[in-house]
Amino acid sequence: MKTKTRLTPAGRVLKLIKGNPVPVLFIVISVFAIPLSGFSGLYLAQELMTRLVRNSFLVLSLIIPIIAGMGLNFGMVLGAMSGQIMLILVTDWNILGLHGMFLAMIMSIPLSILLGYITGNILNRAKGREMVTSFILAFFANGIYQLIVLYGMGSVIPIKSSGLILSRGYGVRNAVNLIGIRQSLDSLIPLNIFGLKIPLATFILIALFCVFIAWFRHTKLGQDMRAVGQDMQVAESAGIAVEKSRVIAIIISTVLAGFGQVVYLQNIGTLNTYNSHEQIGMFSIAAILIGGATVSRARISNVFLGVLLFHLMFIVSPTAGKNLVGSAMIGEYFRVFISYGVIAIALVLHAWRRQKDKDEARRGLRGNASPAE
Amino acid sequence: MHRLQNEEKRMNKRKTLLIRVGLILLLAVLSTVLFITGKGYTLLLDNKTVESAGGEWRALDSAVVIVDKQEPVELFRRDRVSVEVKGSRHVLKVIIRNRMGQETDSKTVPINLKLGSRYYLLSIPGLIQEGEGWLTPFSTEDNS
Repeated sequence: MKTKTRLTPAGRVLKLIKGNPVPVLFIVISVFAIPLSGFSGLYLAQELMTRLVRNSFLVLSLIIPIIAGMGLNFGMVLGAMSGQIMLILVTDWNILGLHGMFLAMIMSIPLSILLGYITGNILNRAKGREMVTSFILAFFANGIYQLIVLYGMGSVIPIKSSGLILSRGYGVRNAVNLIGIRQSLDSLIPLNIFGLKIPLATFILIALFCVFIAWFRHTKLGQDMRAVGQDMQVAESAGIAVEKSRVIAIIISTVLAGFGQVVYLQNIGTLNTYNSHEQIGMFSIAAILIGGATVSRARISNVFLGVLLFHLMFIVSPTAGKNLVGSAMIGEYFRVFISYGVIAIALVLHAWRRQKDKDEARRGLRGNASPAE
Repeated sequence: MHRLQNEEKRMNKRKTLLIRVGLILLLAVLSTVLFITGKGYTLLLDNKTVESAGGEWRALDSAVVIVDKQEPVELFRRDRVSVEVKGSRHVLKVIIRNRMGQETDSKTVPINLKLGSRYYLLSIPGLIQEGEGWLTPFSTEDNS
């Protein structure tokens, strides 16, 4: 029988740091960067609030593939693309406000399902290498997206608005003004607490999404996905349709990423036609990793902590860099270096931990397991 | 026993198919409703003298136009003002004023915009005189 060893406070702190190295690293950097930036608490809180409502939906869409053991879904970019295509159409048709936003969301569903189905089937042929496959797949899909938007729109797909189409008569302009739907959800239920503007309606939508994820985990399909995520062979022998579950996980993630991109762009109010979707995958994955998630384990709390810490760096680092060394560019460089370095660190730590677990399991089978901590 | 199981499977498949078809139909209906009720139009409120088939619609000295519950728009002779509206059905209230700015008459009319055009030219004198064609789709090469 194992006895629980009581940890000292120092031991507990050390265990916490060991268990969550990435969030702890970011908290430490932020502790130094916030005073250097010189921003007021209210300004920081308002900026964080804006970025939290803007990005949370997108980052939440990454959870379901992680449950299914498919790692971080770089293929979410495909969902973002379908959301963007529908936003371009809705802007051309001049559908305003929440109507336009929800219409874009609904219309993105069939395209996202198709793209998710294709992605899921491709990833089933690349088991164990899902992340790199979906990463490259996003590049490939970007080519098709550009072909549609740059050559198809205005020639094959009718676009009437002269504000959208390039002067040559086809192809969408580099920037699309989403004035018709700008902040339609954010300003639906405005709430102001001590000067802090809170977009309550968007928070309600995000909360509903969290409830959906929590509910989904307990459904038959959710349990199947968990079983598949833990061990595919065991799940297969238990009669679970492994490949089908994985495809469904990717379809759900792609559809939700499409919704997330619409929520994200209604907050910003401008669509950068050829770039908006590209950054989304990287930013969302960086955020969820910074929040303490790993390739095989993610919780809703990781999403919110990650978005807050990642975007805190976005806000404070250029000014902190400027105040520290006299150049905002250095601060921005520092942020990019740290943020993407964190993705690398998180992936390396995950691989190292998995290898360590495997070694320990092997030792355990041989009968010379290391003593419990 | 085996036959019963097969029958149950078939029933389940049929139920799933029905649910899926129902969902698709629901989304299609919802999209149509959102499209119709969310479409934005630009109303060009025009207070100019217009020659029409039934005679001449003379421009008003001054008029205040209220579209739905929007801010009132004041129009003088030869003015043209654009108003953005959402959805196809609206109520227009026109308050006619004389040169001294005193209210002399008012008229409230419902309008129904069709999906074909984004811009509509609304002649205020035509509306007051109840002439035909006071609300017409407006198009140029650029905005059609």
